[in-house]
Order: sequence, then structure tokens, then C-alpha cells
Amino acid sequence: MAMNPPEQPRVPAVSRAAAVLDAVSLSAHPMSLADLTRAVGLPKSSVVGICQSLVAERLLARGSDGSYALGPRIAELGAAAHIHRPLVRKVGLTVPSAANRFFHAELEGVQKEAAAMGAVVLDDEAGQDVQRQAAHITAFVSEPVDLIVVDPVSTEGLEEACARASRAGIPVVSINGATTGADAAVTTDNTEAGFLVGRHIAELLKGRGTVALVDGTRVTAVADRVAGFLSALHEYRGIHLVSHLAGDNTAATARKLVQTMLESGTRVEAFFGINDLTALGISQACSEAGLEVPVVGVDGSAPALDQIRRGGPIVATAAQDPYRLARAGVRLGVQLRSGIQPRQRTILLPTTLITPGQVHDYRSWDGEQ
Amino acid sequence: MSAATPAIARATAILGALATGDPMTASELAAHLDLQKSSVSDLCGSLLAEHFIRKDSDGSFTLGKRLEELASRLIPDARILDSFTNTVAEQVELDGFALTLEVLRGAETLTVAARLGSQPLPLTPRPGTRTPALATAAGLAILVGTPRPLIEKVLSEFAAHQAIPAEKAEELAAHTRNERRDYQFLDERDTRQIAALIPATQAGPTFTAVSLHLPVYFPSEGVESLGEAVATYARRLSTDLA
Repeated sequence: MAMNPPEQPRVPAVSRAAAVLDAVSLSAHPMSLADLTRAVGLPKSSVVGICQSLVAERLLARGSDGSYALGPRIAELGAAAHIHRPLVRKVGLTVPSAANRFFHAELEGVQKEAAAMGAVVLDDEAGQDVQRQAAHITAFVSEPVDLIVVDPVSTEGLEEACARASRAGIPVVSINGATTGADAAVTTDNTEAGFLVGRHIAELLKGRGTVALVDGTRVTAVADRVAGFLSALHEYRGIHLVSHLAGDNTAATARKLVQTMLESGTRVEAFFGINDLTALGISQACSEAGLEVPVVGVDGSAPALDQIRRGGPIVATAAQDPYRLARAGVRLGVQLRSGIQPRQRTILLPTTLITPGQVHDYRSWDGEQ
Repeated sequence: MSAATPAIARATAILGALATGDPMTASELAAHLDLQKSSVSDLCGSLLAEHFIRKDSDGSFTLGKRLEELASRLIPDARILDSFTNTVAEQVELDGFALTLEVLRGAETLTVAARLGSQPLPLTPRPGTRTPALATAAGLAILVGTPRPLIEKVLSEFAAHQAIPAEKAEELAAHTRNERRDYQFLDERDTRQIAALIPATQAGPTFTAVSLHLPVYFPSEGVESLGEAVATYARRLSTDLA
């Protein structure tokens, strides 16, 4: 992001006064004019003038022996600055991995929201390792940050780190999925996403056919998508789930699983991959096997949208909005930090199913035009 | 005394205006302080460059971190100030009471932070207030809880600046018993305070105490349990930093 050029200081007296106050504040005992002049490296006459003005403003106190100490006004103004300063000045963000652009978009969203309130963001990625993510949270607590936002690798494994944050009075908000120990969560309505996908697939198959599901890691977000998907299929008697494969949210694993399944002779007429990367892996395996069946994912990523535009194999994706997740997560965190008890500790954000009909109007988070 | 640098007076007036908490733009400050807009803009630019103020995205100014930094150097372990302001709300027993953080400087205590409570007080404590050490519960708590040589050192550092007479220094030093008494209760007209010394941190002795200012109406039988709560809180301020 482009920064404005720093404003040119036009009043040198202000920076000289700052230098004098710094020197006095850093000294263990009151300073004589001679020591002060030496410390700030300005002409003595100039230091005398500055000190007189600072004493008049009670920013410095002049002692009986002529020495200088910080004045009472410093305590007053410092306390005022402290009271009025924003409660969140530093946000820690940890995401599951650097491999998924969705997490980059979350980082951008958190950065943008933080910048708007003058806060900085420390971020890290966990390489899908929950212990690394716990270590990030612990490091954020020692920093200390004022708010921790986590897109959790897993629903378990962060409890201890979250408890540490809680003891330090630092709220933890989980985004894109809940995790045990966090104070609040902002997630996509994943049940709805899965439901939209299931109904779309059933409609594509006109209510009759065989379907395979490639599942993902053990997080609530994935479990909700699967549950929503299954409950949608349940409404169609002619749709049969013939395969439920345990993936890990990556394209490579999904591709391998689907290859093995197709080699075993299972006949599938449509696929659901629990995220777009999984759907891409499925799509690859199908293309390699010469199988032309619809694949649906969740996320709204660029490669998925690209396939939707070109006619498949991915024909739809339930789009989540990582910027909105990030924004809502930071806002919820600021409320918690301010001592406000939000009415809802979990906020569900809606998804949109992107099909060939909508793809041209949809603006993706995934660095597309 | 000649007003050698009028810019410093104007710059301080800007800080004073922003200390009320309402963010103001350069135009608003100029109108509020009856100064030229161009002069205020120049001053704000310089104050901004030194982090005395910060600029929000809407162009308005609020007080900046430099003032907090300077104020934090008034106490030996600056982190205590941060902890005090951030954790008071979580101390249930102390909820609603007026609390201050006070540091011994020479023969005086200086109030560096205040959290005002909900009940009327005989006197409103405010940051920047200097009081003879023996006239505050905080001063007593610091003197009684700190080893004599350390107190003597603080007194000697400020002896010339505050013109502390030798007999006064001796009187103060005589209070040091390095006692492990949990809290001090000062019960005088207009001053009913309970204070506890914050134990030494890695940075060394703190010379800093938390002081609770009792409201006008408060039953004496409640003092003891409140004293324990203040002492617990003072210990927590120290151990939280470990």
C-alpha cells in the first residue's frame, strides 16, 4: 500500500523540545543545564529558551538548584494519551498455511481493518501444523498483541495457547472455522454452503445419480459443509452417495484418492470437494481418466472460477468472502477487548453459489480481474 | 522570564486541547485555540513527526505515543503503567473504586496514573499531582516496604532539586523497615487511602505503589478486606511482568 510522504516538520522548536524532554526523562536524576546542553547537542542559549518555555508549560520542573526533571504535565498528558489510545494497536494473525490464496486474502482483510484503526498486524502461517499455530499464539501473547485472530488448523489443539491469551486478557477470535478455547468465532455459514452445493448437484443430476464426496481435515468448517451437503442429498431419493473419501483439503491428496477410486471401478456422476483445492484435485483426476462429470467446491477461488467459465469440470463453487470474515473477526475482537459482551459469540456469514450464470458478475478475492 | 519560544506554548496548547479526548482536525484546533490555521498545521506537522500526536484516517488528531513514553519513564519499570491501565477492570473486588499509581520521587510521591471510581471522593486524584511522601498512603507503603539504602539513594538524587533538608531526609529514611506488611491505611481528614507497594520486578525495586482512594462514605470494617485486595493486586502487577 502506498504511504503518504511524511509531513515536513516546520517548527524546529518542537523537535528541540522533544530532544530536551527525552534527555531529561532518560536521566536517573534531575539534570543540570550543563549536562542537558551536552546531552542534546544544541547551543546553550537555545536550550535555556526551550527549558524556560517547557517549565512555563509545566512539562519540565526546575529545581531549587536549577536542575531539571520532568514536570507534572507529562504525567497528565501521558495519562490522557493512555486513556484515549485505541485499545487495539497490535493484532496477531495466524493462518493454517501460505499455500492457499484464501489465507492471503484473510491477511489483507485483517491488515486493512487494522490500518483503519491505526493498528499493526503481526502474521504467521502454520504449515498445517496445529502445534506451530499454538506456538504462534504463545508468541503473540509474549509480544504482547492486543487481539489474536486465528484461522485454525484444527478445532482442537489450541486450548492451552488460548488459555494463556485469556490469562493475559487478550481476546482470541477464530475466523473461517471455530476452535476450542477461542473467545468468539466468525465463520462462513458452512452448513448452508454444503446445502447449496448438495442441492445444486442433485438438480444437475435431475434427482437421479451417484455422487462422491471428498472430505477434509477435522475442523468444524469442513464437518458443517459435509453435514449440509448430506442433508440436501437426503431430500432426493434418487441420489446415492457411493463414496465418502477422507481428504486433507489439498489438491494432491484429492487427486490421488479419486484416481484410486476410479481405478477400482466405482461409477460416479458428480463430485463434491469440501474446498476448491480438493475440487481441483478431483477435476484433475477426472480429466486424466477421461471422465466428464460435474465437480463442485467451496471457496470461490480463481482456478475454480476459471473452470466454471470454461465449462468444467468444476461447474460451481460456494463462495466465501475472506475479507468479510477478516473484517468481522477484527471488529468482534475489538468489542471483546473493550469489555463489550457481544450478543452472538459465533457469527455466521452467508455464502453465494457461483455457477456459470453468475460467474461473470462475481468479483473474486483470488487476485482475478 | 521571557517567553523564549512561543511555538512551545502553542504546541502545548494543542496537546492540552487533544487531552480532553475528542479528536480534532487542524481547522478545529485553530478555531478552538484561536490560532492561525497555517500555524496550527505547521505545529501539527512537527508534533506528528515527533509522535506527540497521531493522525487518524479521517484527518483528525489524537494524542500520540511519545507522551506515554515520556510519562512511562517517570517510574522505574514502565511496564507497570501499562498493566495498571489494562488490568484494573478485571479486579472484581476493586471494581468501582478510585485507584492511582504513585511513584516516589525524592521526598514526594507523584501520581502517574488514575482510574476514577463511581463514588464521590473527598478529593479527586489526578495524574501529575505531587504530594509529600508522608501525606499519602502510597508514600508510606513505598517507604515502609523498601530497604533503607535504596530510599536514601532516591532522596539523595533529588536532595538538591527539591531542597530536602537533612532532618526531613532522615525522617523519611527512618520509616523504612523493609516490612512485609501487606498494605498501609492512611485515615486523615480528606485523605482516606489504602496503598500497597508493588514488589520488585526484574527491573529492580519499583518505588511504585497502588493506592485506593476511599469514597466519602465507606464503613471502617470494610477496610481490611479491601486492603488485602489492593495488596493482591499490587503483587499481581509485579508477577504479571515475570
